[in-house]
Amino acid sequence: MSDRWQAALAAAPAHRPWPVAIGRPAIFVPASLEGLAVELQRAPESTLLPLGGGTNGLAATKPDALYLLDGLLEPASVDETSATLDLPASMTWGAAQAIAVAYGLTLTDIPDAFADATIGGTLARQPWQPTLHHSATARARCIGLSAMLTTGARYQYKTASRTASGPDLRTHFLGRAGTTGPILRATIEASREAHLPHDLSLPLTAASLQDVIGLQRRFGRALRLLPTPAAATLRLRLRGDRPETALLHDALASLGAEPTARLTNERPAADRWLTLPFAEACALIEASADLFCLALGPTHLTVGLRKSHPPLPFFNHELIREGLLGAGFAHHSEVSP
Amino acid sequence: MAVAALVDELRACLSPEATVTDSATAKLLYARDAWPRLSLQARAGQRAISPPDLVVHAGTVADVVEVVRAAGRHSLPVVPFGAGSGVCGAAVPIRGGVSLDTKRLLDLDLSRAADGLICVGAGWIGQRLEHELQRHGLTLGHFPSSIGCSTIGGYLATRSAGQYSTRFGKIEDMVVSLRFVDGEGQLRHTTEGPLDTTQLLVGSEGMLGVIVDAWLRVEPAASSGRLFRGYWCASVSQGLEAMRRALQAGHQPAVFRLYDPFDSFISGARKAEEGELLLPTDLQHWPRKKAPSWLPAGLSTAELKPRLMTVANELLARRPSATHWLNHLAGKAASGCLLIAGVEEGSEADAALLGQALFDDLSATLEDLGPAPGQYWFAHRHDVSFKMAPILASGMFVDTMEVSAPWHRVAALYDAVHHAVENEAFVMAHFSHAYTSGCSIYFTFAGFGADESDCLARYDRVWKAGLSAVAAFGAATTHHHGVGLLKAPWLNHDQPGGAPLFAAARRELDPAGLLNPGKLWEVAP
Repeated sequence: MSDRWQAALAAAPAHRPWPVAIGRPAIFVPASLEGLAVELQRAPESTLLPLGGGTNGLAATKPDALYLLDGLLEPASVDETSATLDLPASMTWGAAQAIAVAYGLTLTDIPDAFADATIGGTLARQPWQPTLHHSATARARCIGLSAMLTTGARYQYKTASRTASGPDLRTHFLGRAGTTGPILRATIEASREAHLPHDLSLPLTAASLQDVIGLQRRFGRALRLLPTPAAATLRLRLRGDRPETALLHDALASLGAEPTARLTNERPAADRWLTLPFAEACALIEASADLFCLALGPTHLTVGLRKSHPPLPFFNHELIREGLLGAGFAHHSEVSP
Repeated sequence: MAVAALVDELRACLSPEATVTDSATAKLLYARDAWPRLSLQARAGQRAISPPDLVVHAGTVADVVEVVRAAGRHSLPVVPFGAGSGVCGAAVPIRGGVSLDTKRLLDLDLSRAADGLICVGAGWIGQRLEHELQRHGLTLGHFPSSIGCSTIGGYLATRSAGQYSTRFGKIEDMVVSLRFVDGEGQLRHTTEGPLDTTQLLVGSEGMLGVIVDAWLRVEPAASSGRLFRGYWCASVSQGLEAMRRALQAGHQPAVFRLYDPFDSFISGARKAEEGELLLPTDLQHWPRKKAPSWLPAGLSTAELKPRLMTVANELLARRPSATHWLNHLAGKAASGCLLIAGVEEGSEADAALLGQALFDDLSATLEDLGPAPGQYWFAHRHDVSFKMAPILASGMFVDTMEVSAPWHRVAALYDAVHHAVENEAFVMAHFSHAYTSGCSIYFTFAGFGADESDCLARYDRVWKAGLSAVAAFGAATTHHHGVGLLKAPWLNHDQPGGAPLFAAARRELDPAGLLNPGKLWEVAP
């Protein structure tokens, strides 16, 4: 939990009886799920929202009150055979990772702010992104979910090995920023293999991007684009335990890629992010390589711009928006690193 | 009266490519999908649950809009219909109305194929689309066994999976967005609003909108980069453990299928009859265990199968309900399990690289049978869709049940379901659609009844017992066949509390509730 929320909570009574109100918006700490259900039913829509680690600076709405789920939920459990963790929403990714490691597992694709970001908070911010099939998000690792509706009723998507056929109502909660009710628990797939990654960097040009796209399509399971803290750079991570790693290493070296120190929590300095199909991404890079790269999927690239970025002569938001909609993408989605 | 008026209205406003008919033949054809229970009912002389009042083949997206609006004006339901290959009754027009056939929605936009994206009309038959994509060096990677008689719209509406789902994912992983016509006749794009509703429409089985086209992710075709290998496992547990370890080690084979002992035996016997002895030499003669008195020892695999069929027929002729004896017999006859692994990549070199790593890992614990079992499976991979009709025609009942569970429960779930239904039907299974965290089990069951009515009652008891066992186990009652009428009573088990959420979505997209009414959560548990 971030410092400001810790400070706020420090001012609360030790036992946090329901309700505890601190400042404005008020912060409530419900004493039971039943109590939370009652309050949710009383509250007008979107005036009462769940609070995770407080790492998201882009609140979707301005609530009158926030509530924490700390202490309400059952402890985490681990299914070693299936390599999954069933986690309470209020747990941080850092704590979840510590549990996973204790069982010989690793949680991949977790937020950079793992020390503060919570399971529920991250899932509530990440909508479904099927284009990130290979380079998965934490949301794509979520195979089971328990949540509470704003009516106080409960919903559960029981853990399946993969989404079952028929309807999937998890979309009612994932990426909805808590406005449809809090996520209470989630089952997250972990990874068993040792990744032994190799990190490489190479200059970002339209040509190098085309080559990397080709490699990603061949070996998407072993190749992943990492967020770039510096503009005009592609940083790539190779899984060291894959049979194609050596081949990828050689191919990237022939493009001029050089080994780089392993990245840790480095955040790109971009102010705005655009998710573009490859053709548009390459055209943009052709015009100006002063861009940040965030994520490479099988059909798209997510690039970032600074506010101070000079205007691009052809960079017409409306045209790009039309292009994206035409290709079935949501228009320039804000993607938090 | 409303129907006659609607027919006139539609004939006046639809495109020349569309057809509108209320002929008795058309209504009979569209009264059902491929749910085996409906075949049993028909065989027993029962009439269709409820035929549609009329059948419309939409020729364009605009036709779909017009049909939904016109039906709404007359308060008649609209039931989207692809190719009718569903096996759960999802396309059955239980409240009549319009059966809206989408097979003529055949637009195909390959202009963004370089980006790995295509836009495809809902009416494309899977096999035809795949042929077209292969011509351009592409593949969707979606290969259900019904691929020759099922549509893109049907895949999306049911959230289906193909035989290569371990490699390419399910249809939900391939769809980027889609367009649909909502219950008020508005054409919508799932990414047009602030919230992406693609995954809400996927799997909604025609109750939230009529899917008309979709943007799908495609990959380089892999016709030259395909390798198979078969393995022999001592038991189901050993085979499952080998699959789990391989997947959790990072392998991602296109094909990963483990057959239970009797399914393996049937496969081996069939291949032996065709002169392809695929089992290891020491397994080609039965028995490995002590032989029962009624079955002589030393039979070859090819000789064993007809002998078993004779014994089974004699047994069932005397006592049709003695299916547990048949299951017992199967357990005595069979020994060991066949596992098929296959990789499919964009080039021979890539397939060789990735395949060798997988095959080396599997060979460390399992007996390598070489490429023949996988090649045989590949050549016959769609046969299952054509085997049910003759079995049903013979007077038996037959169906398949696909469920899934996390790895730590898969073997026990297999035992539980087998035990639950073995007194009512003969049952065998294979394990496919395997992922890092779990696996699907695909049960095939068949049986007899004293008469048609008894056959139907027994069929229903098998499903109730089987899915009750799945539910009691906390596993998922469906994996890739959809929900329909068959599995709707178990939706509240898989997604407790989902009813009000789905009802809210329906109020938003179909306020009058005219799109495929009476399905999913609208079926009484």
